[in-house]
Amino acid sequence: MNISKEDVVKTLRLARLEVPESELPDLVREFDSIVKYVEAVAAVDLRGVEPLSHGGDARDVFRDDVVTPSLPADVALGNAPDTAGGCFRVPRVIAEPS
Amino acid sequence: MTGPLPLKAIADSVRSGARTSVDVATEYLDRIERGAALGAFLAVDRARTLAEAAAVDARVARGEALPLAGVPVAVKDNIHAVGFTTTCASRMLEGFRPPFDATVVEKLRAAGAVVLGKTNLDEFAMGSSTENSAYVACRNPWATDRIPGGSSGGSAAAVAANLAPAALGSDTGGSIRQPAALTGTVGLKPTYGRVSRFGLVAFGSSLDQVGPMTRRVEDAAMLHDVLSGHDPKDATTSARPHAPTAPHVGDGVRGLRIGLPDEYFGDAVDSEIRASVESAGRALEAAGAVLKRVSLPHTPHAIPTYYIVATSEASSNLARYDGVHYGRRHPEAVDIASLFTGSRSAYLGKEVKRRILLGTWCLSSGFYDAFYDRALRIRSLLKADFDAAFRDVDLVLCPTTPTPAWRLGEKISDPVQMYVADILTGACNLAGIPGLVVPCGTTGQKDTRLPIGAQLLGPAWSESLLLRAGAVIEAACWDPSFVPSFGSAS
Repeated sequence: MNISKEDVVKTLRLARLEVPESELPDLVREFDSIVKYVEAVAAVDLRGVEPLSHGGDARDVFRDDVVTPSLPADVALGNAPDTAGGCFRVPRVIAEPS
Repeated sequence: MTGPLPLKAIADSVRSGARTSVDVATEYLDRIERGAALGAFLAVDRARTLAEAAAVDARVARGEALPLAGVPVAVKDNIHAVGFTTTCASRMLEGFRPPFDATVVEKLRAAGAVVLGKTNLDEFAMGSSTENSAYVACRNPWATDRIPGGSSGGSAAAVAANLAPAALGSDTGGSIRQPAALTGTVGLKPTYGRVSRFGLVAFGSSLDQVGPMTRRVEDAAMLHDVLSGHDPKDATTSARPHAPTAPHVGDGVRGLRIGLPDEYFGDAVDSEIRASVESAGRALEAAGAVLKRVSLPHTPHAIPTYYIVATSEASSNLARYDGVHYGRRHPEAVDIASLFTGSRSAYLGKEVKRRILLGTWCLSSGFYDAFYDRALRIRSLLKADFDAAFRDVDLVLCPTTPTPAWRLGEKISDPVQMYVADILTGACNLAGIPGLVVPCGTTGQKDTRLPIGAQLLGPAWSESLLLRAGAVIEAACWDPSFVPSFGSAS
């Protein structure tokens, strides 16, 4: 599979990433070589083989539905880039009615 | 020369009053200053560490039983320790102050250990050389123009240079074992589910484990016993009780069947490394083990599979860096799109972006079946390889890395070359089994020699056997008190 610039731009957009136009050619070349490398998985005969999502012994894990202590709000907000009134603050999401 | 003390001797000396925890911490903090050029640490806080040490001295005076009394431990900077920043060597988390201890750090502190500082790593643990640190490249104490391996390169370099008697690392595809091998230190990647990841910054959640990095096998056992066990805060930890390993480290290997997997001794592996690991095998044989050839036929597919699984999980885990809850926000964010995309693009490094890109691609519509789903099925085959081998043998012995430590800059511009460095370590994480690396020799001549690590792999929950076999290799092949004279190198 050959990776195009459009493939990389589309996938970057899905991942909420951007790279400067000047760095795109290198990234396309690197990503092409990485995809060609991992594409080797296509050659393995997998008839009758089930997927394995982890190697551990944990299955569904439940706990009692009781309230346990959690971080106080001011501590939870302590590393936030911007807060207001005990909340995380972000730029306006919904436009003002015009 | 007597060299650095085992952890038990440090704790004994503090418990007996021969030295204080403050004395021990001061000695190591001074060493860290003298070894600053190695780039092993990202955060050191002398006042904070000495205050922690003084608190341990007070606990000892009150008669508290502390197995790690006054033992300084360096902590990889993707594991939370209150009082220190957690940056993951990323600009994204510059200045992040964790509001809680990781469970592993809580356990260390409860046992009387003192946090010595936070160690360097590849950004978000993504890399095999520690050159992907956004802050400073880390250097190998055996040859300072070479990399210490990665991603736990800072922890490995700190222990190898005796800037810390022990350290914590994390291992997603070899990030404890590969740097241990390249720096002549001991590294244990426990069974998936043995050690809590609460407070470890997530990379590949079905693969990540925290483990000890030490000078000696007995030290690794001692730390492993403190770190292990069920944690209600990490649902992937096993309820299975942990049987202490330290009391059995000296039990030997008489009668154990140890497999040498053909696929791990191929031509891609440096001949000096093969020969050194084979001599470790002979040491096990001399101690009464029975060696046997085994086959792990799907090994050639392990690294493509690993990179698909790890990056897919990473693309999901790293979606949390969005400039909202924590981490840095781009100053020019004006709407949600520029908040997310601007912050992530500005503060995540190149390799992290490449991996998020690959993971997003593997999970995206149209490619999921051909990449992610196929990788999970190959994962079953890799695990079945190990299951079959462990019906024939108790443990497997193999090399850890195809080459010794390479020069800084040598592979950094070719991501695939760098990924291939994990070729002998990734399958272990995919299968969820434990792995131990023990130094077993060096390459080259006297003045240019570089360490070689023997890797022992075993079935789930076989850490005690791994440590017993590791102790035999160590006793026959290695002098754990030797500290390379990095100070006189370039």
